[in-house]
Amino acid sequence: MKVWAVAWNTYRGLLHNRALLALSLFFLFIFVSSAGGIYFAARLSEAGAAEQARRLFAQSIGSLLNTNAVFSFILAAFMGAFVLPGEIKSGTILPTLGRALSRSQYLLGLFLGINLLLATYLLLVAVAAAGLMLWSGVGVEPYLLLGLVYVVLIANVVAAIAFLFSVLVNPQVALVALAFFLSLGGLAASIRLVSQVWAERVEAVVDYVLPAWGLLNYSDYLQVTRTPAARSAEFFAVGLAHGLDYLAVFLLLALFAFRRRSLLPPS
Amino acid sequence: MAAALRFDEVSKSYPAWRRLRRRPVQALDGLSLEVEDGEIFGFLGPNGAGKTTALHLLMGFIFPDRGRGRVYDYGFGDPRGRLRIGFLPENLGFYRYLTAEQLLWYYGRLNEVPDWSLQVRVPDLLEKVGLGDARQRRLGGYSRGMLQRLGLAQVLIHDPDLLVLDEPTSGLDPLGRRLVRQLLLELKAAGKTIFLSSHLLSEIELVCDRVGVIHRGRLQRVGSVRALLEASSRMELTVRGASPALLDALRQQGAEVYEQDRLHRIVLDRDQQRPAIERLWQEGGELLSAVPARSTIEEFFLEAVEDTPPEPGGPR
Repeated sequence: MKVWAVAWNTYRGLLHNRALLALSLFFLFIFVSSAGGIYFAARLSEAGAAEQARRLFAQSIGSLLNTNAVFSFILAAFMGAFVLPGEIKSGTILPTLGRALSRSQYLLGLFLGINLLLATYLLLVAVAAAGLMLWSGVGVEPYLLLGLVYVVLIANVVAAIAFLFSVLVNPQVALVALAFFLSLGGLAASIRLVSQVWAERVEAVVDYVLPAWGLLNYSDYLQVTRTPAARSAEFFAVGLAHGLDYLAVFLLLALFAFRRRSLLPPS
Repeated sequence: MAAALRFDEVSKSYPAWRRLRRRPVQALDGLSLEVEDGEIFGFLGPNGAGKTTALHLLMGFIFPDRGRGRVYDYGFGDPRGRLRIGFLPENLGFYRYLTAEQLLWYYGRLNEVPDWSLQVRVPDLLEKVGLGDARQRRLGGYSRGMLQRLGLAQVLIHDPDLLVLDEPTSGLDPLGRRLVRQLLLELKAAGKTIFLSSHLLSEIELVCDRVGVIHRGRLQRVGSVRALLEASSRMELTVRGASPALLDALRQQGAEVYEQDRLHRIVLDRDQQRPAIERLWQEGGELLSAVPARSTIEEFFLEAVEDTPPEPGGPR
Protein backbone atom coordinates (compact mmCIF):
# COMPACT_ATOMS: atom_id res chain seq x y z
CA MET A 1 0.00 0.00 0.00
CA LYS A 2 2.73 2.48 1.00
CA VAL A 3 4.92 1.37 -1.92
CA TRP A 4 1.98 1.96 -4.25
CA ALA A 5 1.34 5.39 -2.75
CA VAL A 6 4.96 6.40 -3.41
CA ALA A 7 4.84 4.83 -6.89
CA TRP A 8 1.66 6.67 -7.83
CA ASN A 9 3.07 9.97 -6.57
CA THR A 10 6.32 9.40 -8.47
CA TYR A 11 4.36 8.61 -11.60
CA ARG A 12 2.37 11.83 -11.29
CA GLY A 13 5.57 13.79 -10.72
CA LEU A 14 7.17 12.30 -13.82
CA LEU A 15 4.08 13.14 -15.88
CA HIS A 16 4.58 16.77 -14.85
CA ASN A 17 8.27 16.79 -15.73
CA ARG A 18 8.77 19.28 -18.56
CA ALA A 19 12.01 17.73 -19.86
CA LEU A 20 10.31 14.36 -20.26
CA LEU A 21 7.35 16.01 -21.96
CA ALA A 22 9.65 17.71 -24.49
CA LEU A 23 11.36 14.38 -25.16
CA SER A 24 7.97 12.76 -25.74
CA LEU A 25 6.99 15.39 -28.29
CA PHE A 26 10.22 14.75 -30.17
CA PHE A 27 9.44 11.05 -30.21
CA LEU A 28 5.92 11.71 -31.39
CA PHE A 29 7.33 13.52 -34.41
CA ILE A 30 9.52 10.52 -35.32
CA PHE A 31 6.65 8.13 -34.71
CA VAL A 32 4.38 9.99 -37.08
CA SER A 33 7.05 10.11 -39.79
CA SER A 34 7.67 6.34 -39.59
CA ALA A 35 3.91 5.79 -39.85
CA GLY A 36 4.19 7.09 -43.41
CA GLY A 37 6.57 4.21 -44.30
CA ILE A 38 4.13 1.61 -43.02
CA TYR A 39 1.30 3.15 -44.97
CA PHE A 40 3.29 3.17 -48.23
CA ALA A 41 4.34 -0.45 -47.62
CA ALA A 42 0.68 -1.40 -47.54
CA ARG A 43 -0.04 0.54 -50.72
CA LEU A 44 2.92 -1.13 -52.52
CA SER A 45 1.59 -4.50 -51.49
CA GLU A 46 -1.77 -3.64 -53.00
CA ALA A 47 -0.01 -2.63 -56.23
CA GLY A 48 1.53 -6.11 -56.51
CA ALA A 49 5.08 -5.20 -55.45
CA ALA A 50 5.01 -7.71 -52.60
CA GLU A 51 8.79 -8.06 -52.10
CA GLN A 52 9.41 -4.30 -52.04
CA ALA A 53 6.41 -3.90 -49.77
CA ARG A 54 7.77 -6.53 -47.35
CA ARG A 55 11.17 -4.78 -47.23
CA LEU A 56 9.70 -1.34 -46.77
CA PHE A 57 7.36 -2.60 -44.10
CA ALA A 58 10.21 -4.34 -42.26
CA GLN A 59 12.31 -1.19 -42.43
CA SER A 60 9.48 1.02 -41.26
CA ILE A 61 8.45 -1.17 -38.39
CA GLY A 62 12.12 -1.64 -37.51
CA SER A 63 12.63 2.09 -37.50
CA LEU A 64 9.52 2.55 -35.37
CA LEU A 65 10.62 0.02 -32.81
CA ASN A 66 14.18 1.25 -32.97
CA THR A 67 13.10 4.78 -32.14
CA ASN A 68 10.75 3.46 -29.51
CA ALA A 69 13.53 1.41 -27.92
CA VAL A 70 16.05 4.25 -27.93
CA PHE A 71 13.49 6.58 -26.45
CA SER A 72 12.54 4.05 -23.75
CA PHE A 73 16.17 3.60 -22.78
CA ILE A 74 16.79 7.34 -22.66
CA LEU A 75 13.64 7.77 -20.62
CA ALA A 76 14.62 4.94 -18.27
CA ALA A 77 18.20 6.21 -17.92
CA PHE A 78 17.19 9.76 -17.06
CA MET A 79 14.40 8.75 -14.75
CA GLY A 80 16.59 6.19 -12.99
CA ALA A 81 19.44 8.67 -12.62
CA PHE A 82 17.47 11.75 -11.58
CA VAL A 83 14.38 10.66 -9.65
CA LEU A 84 16.06 10.09 -6.28
CA PRO A 85 18.60 12.97 -6.49
CA GLY A 86 15.67 15.19 -7.55
CA GLU A 87 13.78 14.27 -4.39
CA ILE A 88 16.87 14.93 -2.28
CA LYS A 89 17.62 18.24 -3.96
CA SER A 90 14.06 19.54 -3.70
CA GLY A 91 13.80 18.45 -0.06
CA THR A 92 10.63 16.44 -0.72
CA ILE A 93 12.36 13.31 0.53
CA LEU A 94 12.48 14.58 4.13
CA PRO A 95 8.75 14.84 4.88
CA THR A 96 8.17 11.62 2.93
CA LEU A 97 10.81 9.55 4.71
CA GLY A 98 9.86 11.24 7.97
CA ARG A 99 6.83 8.93 7.87
CA ALA A 100 6.39 5.33 8.92
CA LEU A 101 8.04 4.23 5.73
CA SER A 102 11.21 2.19 5.38
CA ARG A 103 13.91 3.23 2.94
CA SER A 104 13.38 0.03 0.95
CA GLN A 105 9.67 0.74 0.59
CA TYR A 106 10.45 4.25 -0.55
CA LEU A 107 13.04 3.19 -3.12
CA LEU A 108 10.83 0.41 -4.47
CA GLY A 109 8.02 2.94 -4.74
CA LEU A 110 10.21 5.26 -6.80
CA PHE A 111 11.26 2.40 -9.07
CA LEU A 112 7.68 1.25 -9.47
CA GLY A 113 6.72 4.82 -10.36
CA ILE A 114 9.31 4.79 -13.15
CA ASN A 115 7.89 1.46 -14.31
CA LEU A 116 4.37 2.84 -14.35
CA LEU A 117 5.51 5.62 -16.65
CA LEU A 118 7.42 3.23 -18.92
CA ALA A 119 4.42 0.91 -19.01
CA THR A 120 2.08 3.78 -19.90
CA TYR A 121 4.42 4.91 -22.62
CA LEU A 122 4.89 1.45 -24.10
CA LEU A 123 1.18 0.74 -23.91
CA LEU A 124 0.56 3.89 -25.92
CA VAL A 125 3.24 2.80 -28.41
CA ALA A 126 1.70 -0.68 -28.70
CA VAL A 127 -1.78 0.71 -29.24
CA ALA A 128 -0.51 3.29 -31.75
CA ALA A 129 1.62 0.74 -33.63
CA ALA A 130 -1.24 -1.77 -33.75
CA GLY A 131 -3.54 0.99 -34.96
CA LEU A 132 -1.05 1.89 -37.70
CA MET A 133 -0.82 -1.71 -38.85
CA LEU A 134 -4.56 -2.13 -38.94
CA TRP A 135 -5.02 1.19 -40.69
CA SER A 136 -2.44 0.31 -43.36
CA GLY A 137 -4.16 -3.03 -43.89
CA VAL A 138 -1.23 -5.36 -43.03
CA GLY A 139 -2.70 -6.66 -39.78
CA VAL A 140 -1.11 -6.70 -36.31
CA GLU A 141 2.19 -8.55 -36.13
CA PRO A 142 2.33 -10.59 -32.89
CA TYR A 143 6.10 -10.27 -32.55
CA LEU A 144 5.62 -6.56 -31.98
CA LEU A 145 4.27 -7.33 -28.54
CA LEU A 146 7.22 -9.58 -27.80
CA GLY A 147 9.57 -6.84 -28.94
CA LEU A 148 7.89 -4.40 -26.58
CA VAL A 149 8.22 -6.81 -23.66
CA TYR A 150 11.92 -7.00 -24.46
CA VAL A 151 12.13 -3.20 -24.52
CA VAL A 152 10.37 -2.96 -21.14
CA LEU A 153 12.83 -5.42 -19.65
CA ILE A 154 15.94 -3.72 -21.03
CA ALA A 155 14.57 -0.31 -20.03
CA ASN A 156 14.09 -1.66 -16.52
CA VAL A 157 17.65 -2.94 -16.36
CA VAL A 158 18.84 0.44 -17.65
CA ALA A 159 16.79 2.25 -14.98
CA ALA A 160 18.08 -0.09 -12.27
CA ILE A 161 21.73 0.54 -13.23
CA ALA A 162 21.14 4.30 -13.27
CA PHE A 163 19.30 3.98 -9.96
CA LEU A 164 22.16 2.12 -8.32
CA PHE A 165 24.79 4.64 -9.34
CA SER A 166 22.62 7.61 -8.48
CA VAL A 167 22.22 6.14 -4.98
CA LEU A 168 25.94 5.47 -4.72
CA VAL A 169 27.28 8.68 -6.23
CA ASN A 170 25.24 11.18 -8.27
CA PRO A 171 23.13 11.31 -11.47
CA GLN A 172 26.01 12.39 -13.67
CA VAL A 173 28.17 9.44 -12.64
CA ALA A 174 25.09 7.23 -13.02
CA LEU A 175 24.76 8.21 -16.67
CA VAL A 176 28.47 7.65 -17.33
CA ALA A 177 28.33 4.23 -15.63
CA LEU A 178 25.28 3.37 -17.66
CA ALA A 179 27.00 4.32 -20.90
CA PHE A 180 29.90 2.08 -19.86
CA PHE A 181 27.64 -0.90 -19.13
CA LEU A 182 25.67 -0.51 -22.32
CA SER A 183 28.80 -0.21 -24.44
CA LEU A 184 30.31 -3.39 -22.96
CA GLY A 185 28.50 -5.55 -25.50
CA GLY A 186 29.91 -3.56 -28.41
CA LEU A 187 33.37 -3.24 -26.88
CA ALA A 188 34.70 -6.56 -28.14
CA ALA A 189 33.36 -5.88 -31.63
CA SER A 190 35.19 -2.55 -31.72
CA ILE A 191 38.43 -4.09 -30.49
CA ARG A 192 38.13 -6.85 -33.09
CA LEU A 193 38.78 -4.23 -35.74
CA VAL A 194 42.27 -3.86 -34.27
CA SER A 195 43.08 -7.23 -32.74
CA GLN A 196 41.26 -10.55 -32.82
CA VAL A 197 43.18 -11.87 -29.79
CA TRP A 198 42.36 -8.89 -27.59
CA ALA A 199 38.76 -8.94 -28.71
CA GLU A 200 38.42 -12.54 -27.50
CA ARG A 201 40.07 -11.67 -24.17
CA VAL A 202 37.74 -8.74 -23.63
CA GLU A 203 34.77 -10.88 -24.60
CA ALA A 204 35.84 -13.51 -22.08
CA VAL A 205 36.18 -10.93 -19.30
CA VAL A 206 32.82 -9.35 -20.08
CA ASP A 207 31.19 -12.76 -20.21
CA TYR A 208 32.78 -13.70 -16.89
CA VAL A 209 31.79 -10.51 -15.07
CA LEU A 210 28.39 -10.13 -16.69
CA PRO A 211 27.26 -13.55 -18.00
CA ALA A 212 24.99 -13.40 -21.04
CA TRP A 213 25.14 -9.61 -21.00
CA GLY A 214 25.20 -9.79 -24.78
CA LEU A 215 21.64 -11.10 -24.79
CA LEU A 216 20.57 -7.68 -23.65
CA ASN A 217 22.61 -6.01 -26.31
CA TYR A 218 20.70 -3.37 -28.12
CA SER A 219 21.84 -4.42 -31.63
CA ASP A 220 20.74 -8.02 -30.97
CA TYR A 221 17.40 -6.72 -29.97
CA LEU A 222 17.11 -4.94 -33.30
CA GLN A 223 17.88 -8.18 -35.14
CA VAL A 224 15.15 -9.85 -33.17
CA THR A 225 12.56 -7.35 -34.13
CA ARG A 226 13.58 -7.18 -37.77
CA THR A 227 13.83 -10.89 -38.37
CA PRO A 228 11.76 -12.50 -35.64
CA ALA A 229 11.64 -15.87 -37.34
CA ALA A 230 15.42 -16.18 -37.12
CA ARG A 231 15.26 -16.33 -33.32
CA SER A 232 13.99 -19.29 -31.40
CA ALA A 233 11.67 -19.21 -28.40
CA GLU A 234 14.61 -20.35 -26.30
CA PHE A 235 16.54 -17.22 -27.26
CA PHE A 236 13.75 -15.06 -25.91
CA ALA A 237 13.33 -17.17 -22.79
CA VAL A 238 17.03 -17.06 -21.93
CA GLY A 239 17.16 -13.35 -22.70
CA LEU A 240 14.18 -12.64 -20.48
CA ALA A 241 15.57 -14.76 -17.65
CA HIS A 242 18.93 -12.99 -17.76
CA GLY A 243 17.21 -9.63 -18.01
CA LEU A 244 15.24 -10.39 -14.86
CA ASP A 245 18.43 -11.58 -13.16
CA TYR A 246 20.21 -8.33 -13.89
CA LEU A 247 17.20 -6.29 -12.89
CA ALA A 248 16.98 -8.05 -9.54
CA VAL A 249 20.72 -7.79 -8.86
CA PHE A 250 21.01 -4.07 -9.65
CA LEU A 251 17.85 -3.27 -7.73
CA LEU A 252 18.97 -5.23 -4.67
CA LEU A 253 22.35 -3.49 -4.77
CA ALA A 254 20.58 -0.12 -4.95
CA LEU A 255 18.39 -1.04 -1.96
CA PHE A 256 21.44 -2.12 0.00
CA ALA A 257 23.40 1.04 -0.86
CA PHE A 258 20.43 3.23 0.09
CA ARG A 259 20.17 1.77 3.60
CA ARG A 260 22.92 4.02 4.98
CA ARG A 261 22.91 6.88 2.53
CA SER A 262 22.58 10.44 3.79
CA LEU A 263 19.33 12.03 2.65
CA LEU A 264 20.71 15.54 2.68
CA PRO A 265 21.83 17.28 -0.50
CA PRO A 266 25.62 17.26 -0.90
CA SER A 267 27.08 20.56 0.31
CA MET B 1 7.95 10.48 33.58
CA ALA B 2 9.11 8.40 30.60
CA ALA B 3 11.45 9.89 28.03
CA ALA B 4 9.91 10.52 24.63
CA LEU B 5 13.27 11.29 23.09
CA ARG B 6 16.80 10.54 24.20
CA PHE B 7 20.26 11.25 22.81
CA ASP B 8 23.10 9.26 24.41
CA GLU B 9 26.57 10.63 23.68
CA VAL B 10 25.72 11.16 20.02
CA SER B 11 28.51 12.46 17.79
CA LYS B 12 28.41 13.31 14.14
CA SER B 13 31.00 14.80 11.83
CA TYR B 14 30.83 15.78 8.19
CA PRO B 15 33.70 15.25 5.78
CA ALA B 16 35.27 18.47 4.57
CA TRP B 17 38.37 19.23 2.57
CA ARG B 18 40.61 22.13 3.41
CA ARG B 19 43.91 22.82 1.67
CA LEU B 20 43.90 19.33 0.12
CA ARG B 21 43.56 17.70 3.52
CA ARG B 22 40.51 15.95 4.88
CA ARG B 23 39.42 17.74 8.02
CA PRO B 24 36.05 16.57 9.27
CA VAL B 25 33.78 19.20 10.76
CA GLN B 26 32.41 18.06 14.09
CA ALA B 27 28.71 18.92 14.02
CA LEU B 28 27.73 17.07 17.20
CA ASP B 29 30.15 16.12 19.91
CA GLY B 30 28.75 13.71 22.48
CA LEU B 31 25.26 15.19 22.68
CA SER B 32 23.24 13.78 25.57
CA LEU B 33 19.71 15.01 26.09
CA GLU B 34 16.38 13.74 27.28
CA VAL B 35 12.95 15.14 26.48
CA GLU B 36 10.18 13.91 28.73
CA ASP B 37 6.80 12.78 27.54
CA GLY B 38 4.34 15.70 27.46
CA GLU B 39 6.84 18.55 27.69
CA ILE B 40 7.72 21.27 25.21
CA PHE B 41 11.46 21.48 24.88
CA GLY B 42 13.07 24.49 23.23
CA PHE B 43 16.28 23.64 21.42
CA LEU B 44 18.34 26.79 21.04
CA GLY B 45 21.65 27.48 19.44
CA PRO B 46 23.40 29.85 17.06
CA ASN B 47 23.70 29.06 13.36
CA GLY B 48 25.86 25.99 12.77
CA ALA B 49 25.58 24.85 16.38
CA GLY B 50 24.31 21.40 15.37
CA LYS B 51 20.55 21.78 15.95
CA THR B 52 19.43 20.61 12.52
CA THR B 53 22.00 17.81 12.54
CA ALA B 54 20.49 16.55 15.80
CA LEU B 55 17.01 16.67 14.28
CA HIS B 56 18.11 14.85 11.14
CA LEU B 57 19.79 12.18 13.23
CA LEU B 58 16.71 11.53 15.29
CA MET B 59 14.63 11.21 12.11
CA GLY B 60 17.15 8.75 10.65
CA PHE B 61 18.06 10.92 7.66
CA ILE B 62 21.72 10.66 8.60
CA PHE B 63 23.57 8.33 10.94
CA PRO B 64 25.71 9.07 14.00
CA ASP B 65 29.43 8.31 14.08
CA ARG B 66 29.16 7.40 17.75
CA GLY B 67 26.44 7.11 20.35
CA ARG B 68 22.80 6.22 19.98
CA GLY B 69 19.39 7.60 20.59
CA ARG B 70 15.81 6.50 21.00
CA VAL B 71 12.38 7.83 20.15
CA TYR B 72 10.07 6.17 22.65
CA ASP B 73 11.22 2.53 22.49
CA TYR B 74 12.71 2.63 19.02
CA GLY B 75 16.13 3.52 17.69
CA PHE B 76 16.56 6.63 15.56
CA GLY B 77 15.19 6.11 12.06
CA ASP B 78 12.99 3.14 12.92
CA PRO B 79 9.73 3.52 10.93
CA ARG B 80 7.76 2.35 14.00
CA GLY B 81 9.22 5.25 15.96
CA ARG B 82 8.56 7.66 13.09
CA LEU B 83 4.92 6.64 13.14
CA ARG B 84 4.69 8.55 16.43
CA ILE B 85 6.59 11.61 15.17
CA GLY B 86 5.36 14.62 13.25
CA PHE B 87 8.35 16.29 11.62
CA LEU B 88 8.61 19.76 10.14
CA PRO B 89 11.99 20.39 8.47
CA GLU B 90 13.39 23.89 8.20
CA ASN B 91 13.43 23.90 4.40
CA LEU B 92 10.40 21.90 3.50
CA GLY B 93 10.09 20.73 -0.10
CA PHE B 94 6.67 20.12 -1.60
CA TYR B 95 5.40 18.39 -4.70
CA ARG B 96 4.35 21.39 -6.76
CA TYR B 97 1.93 19.39 -8.89
CA LEU B 98 -0.20 18.28 -5.94
CA THR B 99 -2.95 20.22 -4.22
CA ALA B 100 -2.90 20.69 -0.44
CA GLU B 101 -5.59 18.03 -0.09
CA GLN B 102 -3.74 15.52 -2.24
CA LEU B 103 -0.53 16.10 -0.30
CA LEU B 104 -2.18 15.48 3.05
CA TRP B 105 -3.86 12.34 1.72
CA TYR B 106 -0.50 11.11 0.46
CA TYR B 107 1.28 11.70 3.75
CA GLY B 108 -1.66 10.34 5.72
CA ARG B 109 -1.59 7.09 3.77
CA LEU B 110 2.16 6.76 4.31
CA ASN B 111 1.44 7.07 8.02
CA GLU B 112 -1.19 4.36 7.95
CA VAL B 113 -4.12 6.71 8.60
CA PRO B 114 -7.30 5.01 7.34
CA ASP B 115 -9.16 6.69 4.48
CA TRP B 116 -12.32 7.28 6.54
CA SER B 117 -10.24 9.23 9.05
CA LEU B 118 -8.46 11.24 6.35
CA GLN B 119 -11.81 12.29 4.91
CA VAL B 120 -12.45 14.15 8.15
CA ARG B 121 -8.94 15.14 9.17
CA VAL B 122 -7.74 16.66 5.90
CA PRO B 123 -10.38 19.41 5.58
CA ASP B 124 -10.29 20.02 9.34
CA LEU B 125 -6.54 20.52 9.40
CA LEU B 126 -6.55 22.74 6.33
CA GLU B 127 -9.20 24.93 7.97
CA LYS B 128 -7.20 25.01 11.17
CA VAL B 129 -4.07 26.34 9.45
CA GLY B 130 -6.07 28.81 7.38
CA LEU B 131 -5.82 27.04 4.02
CA GLY B 132 -9.43 25.93 3.71
CA ASP B 133 -10.06 28.13 0.69
CA ALA B 134 -6.86 27.09 -1.09
CA ARG B 135 -7.14 23.34 -0.58
CA GLN B 136 -7.81 22.57 -4.25
CA ARG B 137 -5.01 24.82 -5.51
CA ARG B 138 -1.73 23.33 -6.71
CA LEU B 139 1.18 23.93 -4.36
CA GLY B 140 3.20 25.53 -7.16
CA GLY B 141 0.96 28.57 -6.70
CA TYR B 142 1.36 28.79 -2.92
CA SER B 143 3.29 31.57 -1.17
CA ARG B 144 6.08 30.72 1.28
CA GLY B 145 3.84 31.47 4.24
CA MET B 146 1.09 29.21 2.86
CA LEU B 147 3.59 26.40 2.37
CA GLN B 148 4.79 26.80 5.94
CA ARG B 149 1.18 26.55 7.16
CA LEU B 150 0.73 23.43 5.06
CA GLY B 151 3.94 22.12 6.63
CA LEU B 152 2.28 22.38 10.01
CA ALA B 153 -0.82 20.59 8.73
CA GLN B 154 1.26 17.69 7.38
CA VAL B 155 2.95 17.37 10.77
CA LEU B 156 -0.42 16.78 12.43
CA ILE B 157 -2.06 14.55 9.82
CA HIS B 158 -1.52 11.33 11.81
CA ASP B 159 -2.03 12.87 15.25
CA PRO B 160 1.55 12.18 16.41
CA ASP B 161 2.67 11.95 20.03
CA LEU B 162 5.97 13.75 19.43
CA LEU B 163 6.34 16.83 17.24
CA VAL B 164 9.79 17.69 15.98
CA LEU B 165 9.71 21.22 14.60
CA ASP B 166 12.64 22.99 12.99
CA GLU B 167 11.99 26.76 12.88
CA PRO B 168 8.19 26.43 12.57
CA THR B 169 7.58 30.17 12.23
CA SER B 170 10.17 30.72 9.53
CA GLY B 171 8.61 32.63 6.63
CA LEU B 172 5.39 33.41 8.47
CA ASP B 173 3.81 36.84 8.92
CA PRO B 174 2.70 37.98 12.42
CA LEU B 175 -0.70 36.35 11.95
CA GLY B 176 0.93 33.10 10.99
CA ARG B 177 3.22 33.28 13.99
CA ARG B 178 0.30 33.78 16.30
CA LEU B 179 -1.39 30.79 14.70
CA VAL B 180 1.67 28.64 15.35
CA ARG B 181 1.85 29.79 18.98
CA GLN B 182 -1.84 28.99 19.48
CA LEU B 183 -1.39 25.63 17.82
CA LEU B 184 1.59 24.79 20.01
CA LEU B 185 -0.31 25.76 23.15
CA GLU B 186 -3.29 23.63 22.05
CA LEU B 187 -1.00 20.70 21.43
CA LYS B 188 0.64 21.23 24.78
CA ALA B 189 -2.78 21.20 26.44
CA ALA B 190 -3.53 17.95 24.58
CA GLY B 191 -0.45 16.40 26.20
CA LYS B 192 1.75 16.23 23.12
CA THR B 193 5.51 16.28 23.38
CA ILE B 194 7.19 18.98 21.31
CA PHE B 195 10.85 19.31 20.41
CA LEU B 196 11.12 22.82 19.06
CA SER B 197 14.22 24.20 17.42
CA SER B 198 14.02 27.95 16.95
CA HIS B 199 16.05 31.12 16.86
CA LEU B 200 13.16 33.16 18.21
CA LEU B 201 13.66 33.44 21.93
CA SER B 202 10.31 35.15 22.49
CA GLU B 203 8.51 32.12 21.05
CA ILE B 204 10.52 29.74 23.16
CA GLU B 205 9.70 31.76 26.26
CA LEU B 206 5.98 31.73 25.50
CA VAL B 207 5.49 28.03 24.85
CA CYS B 208 8.37 25.97 26.20
CA ASP B 209 8.67 24.18 29.54
CA ARG B 210 12.43 23.68 29.28
CA VAL B 211 15.16 25.01 27.07
CA GLY B 212 18.53 23.62 26.10
CA VAL B 213 21.31 25.55 24.44
CA ILE B 214 23.57 23.74 22.03
CA HIS B 215 26.81 25.27 20.83
CA ARG B 216 29.71 23.76 18.91
CA GLY B 217 27.90 20.43 18.90
CA ARG B 218 27.58 20.18 22.66
CA LEU B 219 24.67 20.81 24.96
CA GLN B 220 25.90 23.73 27.04
CA ARG B 221 22.98 24.38 29.35
CA VAL B 222 19.50 23.08 30.10
CA GLY B 223 16.98 24.93 32.24
CA SER B 224 13.32 25.28 33.08
CA VAL B 225 11.76 28.37 31.49
CA ARG B 226 9.56 28.96 34.54
CA ALA B 227 12.53 28.82 36.91
CA LEU B 228 14.46 31.17 34.66
CA LEU B 229 11.64 33.67 34.58
CA GLU B 230 11.07 33.45 38.33
CA ALA B 231 14.74 33.88 38.98
CA SER B 232 14.84 36.96 36.87
CA SER B 233 16.28 39.90 38.73
CA ARG B 234 14.90 42.39 36.21
CA MET B 235 11.33 43.40 35.44
CA GLU B 236 9.89 45.16 32.46
CA LEU B 237 7.13 47.74 33.08
CA THR B 238 5.05 49.31 30.35
CA VAL B 239 3.56 52.58 31.58
CA ARG B 240 1.58 55.55 30.31
CA GLY B 241 1.78 59.10 31.69
CA ALA B 242 5.05 58.77 33.62
CA SER B 243 6.46 62.18 34.53
CA PRO B 244 9.91 63.19 33.24
CA ALA B 245 11.04 63.53 36.87
CA LEU B 246 10.11 59.91 37.61
CA LEU B 247 11.85 58.68 34.48
CA ASP B 248 14.99 60.67 35.33
CA ALA B 249 15.00 59.30 38.87
CA LEU B 250 14.71 55.73 37.56
CA ARG B 251 17.48 56.29 35.04
CA GLN B 252 19.72 57.51 37.83
CA GLN B 253 18.99 54.27 39.74
CA GLY B 254 20.17 52.22 36.78
CA ALA B 255 16.88 51.54 35.01
CA GLU B 256 16.67 51.45 31.22
CA VAL B 257 13.88 53.63 29.77
CA TYR B 258 12.57 53.35 26.22
CA GLU B 259 9.90 55.60 24.71
CA GLN B 260 7.45 54.23 22.19
CA ASP B 261 4.17 55.81 21.02
CA ARG B 262 3.65 57.91 24.18
CA LEU B 263 4.28 54.79 26.25
CA HIS B 264 7.39 54.06 28.26
CA ARG B 265 9.01 50.69 28.63
CA ILE B 266 11.12 50.58 31.78
CA VAL B 267 13.50 47.76 32.58
CA LEU B 268 14.52 47.89 36.25
CA ASP B 269 15.66 45.71 39.13
CA ARG B 270 12.95 43.68 40.83
CA ASP B 271 13.36 45.60 44.13
CA GLN B 272 12.87 48.95 42.36
CA GLN B 273 9.55 47.82 40.95
CA ARG B 274 7.21 48.54 43.85
CA PRO B 275 8.39 52.11 44.67
CA ALA B 276 8.38 52.97 40.97
CA ILE B 277 4.79 51.76 40.49
CA GLU B 278 3.59 53.53 43.66
CA ARG B 279 5.13 56.81 42.54
CA LEU B 280 3.66 56.39 39.07
CA TRP B 281 0.18 55.93 40.50
CA GLN B 282 0.64 58.89 42.87
CA GLU B 283 1.45 61.08 39.89
CA GLY B 284 -1.64 59.86 38.03
CA GLY B 285 0.19 57.58 35.62
CA GLU B 286 -1.03 54.18 34.49
CA LEU B 287 0.69 50.79 34.65
CA LEU B 288 -0.12 48.74 31.56
CA SER B 289 1.99 45.65 32.22
CA ALA B 290 4.69 44.27 34.49
CA VAL B 291 6.50 41.13 33.29
CA PRO B 292 9.88 39.54 33.93
CA ALA B 293 12.40 41.19 31.63
CA ARG B 294 12.49 39.31 28.35
CA SER B 295 16.24 39.30 28.31
CA THR B 296 16.21 36.40 30.78
CA ILE B 297 16.16 33.69 28.13
CA GLU B 298 18.42 35.84 26.00
CA GLU B 299 20.92 36.12 28.82
CA PHE B 300 20.69 32.38 29.43
CA PHE B 301 21.36 31.78 25.76
CA LEU B 302 24.19 34.31 25.47
CA GLU B 303 25.90 33.12 28.62
CA ALA B 304 25.80 29.52 27.37
CA VAL B 305 27.20 30.48 24.02
CA GLU B 306 29.80 33.00 25.17
CA ASP B 307 31.14 30.80 27.96
CA THR B 308 32.01 28.05 25.49
CA PRO B 309 35.73 27.80 24.81
CA PRO B 310 36.67 27.52 21.13
CA GLU B 311 37.14 23.96 19.93
CA PRO B 312 39.99 23.05 17.65
CA GLY B 313 38.47 21.26 14.66
CA GLY B 314 34.95 22.32 15.58
CA PRO B 315 32.57 24.10 13.26
CA ARG B 316 33.73 27.57 12.28
